[in-house]
Amino acid sequence: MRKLESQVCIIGGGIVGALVAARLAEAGVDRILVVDAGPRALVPAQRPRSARRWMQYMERPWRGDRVVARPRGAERAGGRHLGPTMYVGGQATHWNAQTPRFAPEDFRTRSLHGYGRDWPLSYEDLEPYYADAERRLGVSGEPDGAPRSTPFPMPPVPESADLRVIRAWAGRAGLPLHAAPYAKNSRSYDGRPACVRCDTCYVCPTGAKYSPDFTLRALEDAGKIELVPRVVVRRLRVGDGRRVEAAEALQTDTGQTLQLESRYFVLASGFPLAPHLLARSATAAFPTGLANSSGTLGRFIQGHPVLIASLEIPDRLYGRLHEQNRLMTRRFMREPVGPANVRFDLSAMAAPHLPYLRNRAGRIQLGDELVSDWRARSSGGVVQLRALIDVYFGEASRIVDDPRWAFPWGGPLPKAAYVYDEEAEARRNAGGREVHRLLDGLVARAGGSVRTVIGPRSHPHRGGGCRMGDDPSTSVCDSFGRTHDHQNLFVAGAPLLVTGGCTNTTLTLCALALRSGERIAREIGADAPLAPTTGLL
Amino acid sequence: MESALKTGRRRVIQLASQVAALLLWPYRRRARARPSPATGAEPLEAVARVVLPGGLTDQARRQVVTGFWRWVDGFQPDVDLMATEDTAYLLELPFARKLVTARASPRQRYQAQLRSLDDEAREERGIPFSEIDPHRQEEIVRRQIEKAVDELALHDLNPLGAPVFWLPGPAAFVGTPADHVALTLMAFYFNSAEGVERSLGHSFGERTCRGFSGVAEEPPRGRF
Repeated sequence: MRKLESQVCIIGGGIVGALVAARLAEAGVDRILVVDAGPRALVPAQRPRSARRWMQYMERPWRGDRVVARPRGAERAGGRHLGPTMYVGGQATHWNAQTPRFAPEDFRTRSLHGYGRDWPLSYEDLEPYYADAERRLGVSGEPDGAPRSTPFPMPPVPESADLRVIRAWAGRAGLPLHAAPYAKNSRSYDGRPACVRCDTCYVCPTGAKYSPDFTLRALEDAGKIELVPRVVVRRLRVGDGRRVEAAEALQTDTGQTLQLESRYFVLASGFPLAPHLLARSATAAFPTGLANSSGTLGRFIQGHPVLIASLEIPDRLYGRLHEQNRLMTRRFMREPVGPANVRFDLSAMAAPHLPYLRNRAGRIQLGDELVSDWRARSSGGVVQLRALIDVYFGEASRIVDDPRWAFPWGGPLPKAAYVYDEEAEARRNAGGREVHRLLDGLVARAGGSVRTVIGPRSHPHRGGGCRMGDDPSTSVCDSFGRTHDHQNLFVAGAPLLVTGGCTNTTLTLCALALRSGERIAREIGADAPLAPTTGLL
Repeated sequence: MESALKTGRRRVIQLASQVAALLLWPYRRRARARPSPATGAEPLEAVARVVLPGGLTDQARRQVVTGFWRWVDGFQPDVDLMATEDTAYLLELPFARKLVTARASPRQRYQAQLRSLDDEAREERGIPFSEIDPHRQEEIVRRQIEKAVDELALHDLNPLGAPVFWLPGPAAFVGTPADHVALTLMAFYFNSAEGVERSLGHSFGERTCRGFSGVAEEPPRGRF
């Protein structure tokens, strides 16, 4: 068995793991170890070809981002793969990089609106770290009503003719839209080029979109971290005094067992793996899992149902000018609507006109017939609107063992089991009604018609299971992600979410991670000053 | 004597050529079973006349067909493919996703389908598919496409889960019950830059890292 010793062991090389590592390194913390279950990401030079093969042949562009699960009880793997999070860089290697901030109200839904749960920190507490995260990722955007101490690092990329039309159309209905913020360069930034509108953001061939492996590679090259890929942590072991002594791990490409010993452990393996690992680390002394004296480990998992609508508008839209770029509004995050105080974000994009194999009468169209139909439909515009609706999932929503699938190295996969209790169901339904009402109002005032509405359904941007709180009897971690039960064990990332919010969560998770990294660095005795803020703009 | 010798030499040459023909017969048979691109292109060009826009010249159509076969030959087996759920925003993403692996090039399957078009035409009219009248060509192709599409509800290809009728990119069909050469050729063309430009009248330069010059204006008019 091989032993790896460190001062801080970060389990998970995704975006939050990378930012914790960066913050620690800058503060002068040495012996930082980052382990990840997956292989290294494609280097930038490999990405253009990978993007082409993805576009032409639907090949998964992130080669090796999979571990093959096996049916429980079977000896051999097959049928299911785990990914794309099993990869150095994690999901943010191929995200669309939309990076809005939460609204201040997201942190206080219980006290403001009577639902959900208040966080143990406020937007104001987190604001400096939002600014820091935006600087590190290179976020481009325009003033959007979010209280800020610093402007966006970069302005938005040039707006397409389509988005200009959509802005004007929504403006006719009294709904101002702004550029959605993205971690994509609108100019050269941090040694990476500006976006050149490839529109293949799932795999950015130029490096204009931020990817966590850039941070990890820079830290490695500078000798600030040791990064070991293909390491799966199977258990955490707690010694006397409730401190985590070691992480028992497996090097999956060699089969070698590893023991990772460290002064601090940061569990940055994401949702649902982090809470699942804590549960699987149960012992006689901790029969329901580590960090679970509250009984809330793996429970209160969150997400926000999404509604997607297609609207036909009388204005011409082409839909192929810059598909990956959107407009959005934070209005309904800050000003809830309806008697149920429904909150949601709203983003808009121009949908491309697609060739139809069947016309609306169901007839197969060939040749000129297909072209005529396509042209006729292209004279107008189709706007796709997306709303993420804030609901709150109660205790019954939890992570369980998957009854069917296991890791290839043993142990059941986790499964996120969402339960819509009465309150969550009511909020989802109210959210759907209010968004429908908004859509009807938009087309009535600005012109057009609602073509299709899907949802609210599903729960993207999932998290929770290790929720933060001031009270150890009702939460797993404090506001810095430190577990209440084990002083040297921190959790970073989505499992910390107290509520799901109603917008993309990544930037919030990055800000929390930077705050955690600063706290750990100070405890170690490193110098970790944060740039002073001058007040909110 | 001299004429007998000439006759003898002639006979030897005849015999030699007959023997050579016998020796070469297996190779010729294999060559027929593995049609040259020129042979495989003829029925596919006829199919292209049915499923692609009528305004294409013969040369343009041949270029599309050549490009299609080149795309067909670019498949790599044993490569992980995107499952619909990988980029499907609305689906309940399970932690473990379905494993989908690429198969080999569909060329042989498509050539078999093209031969079946010929077989049907010969059975009916005694002439190859490329020589029957265009209306009959369309009937045959339409029937085969409908059969293929019926075997795969098109909404299965839509990650939003809503029943739609759009034509996805060609790779979405390969390996599915709807994997028919006529359908894939349509998908190949109408999702290509030229297909979009010819159909919609504008040049978009999608997926070409085109920069932002002109992004705020109407896209340039197409060349066709």
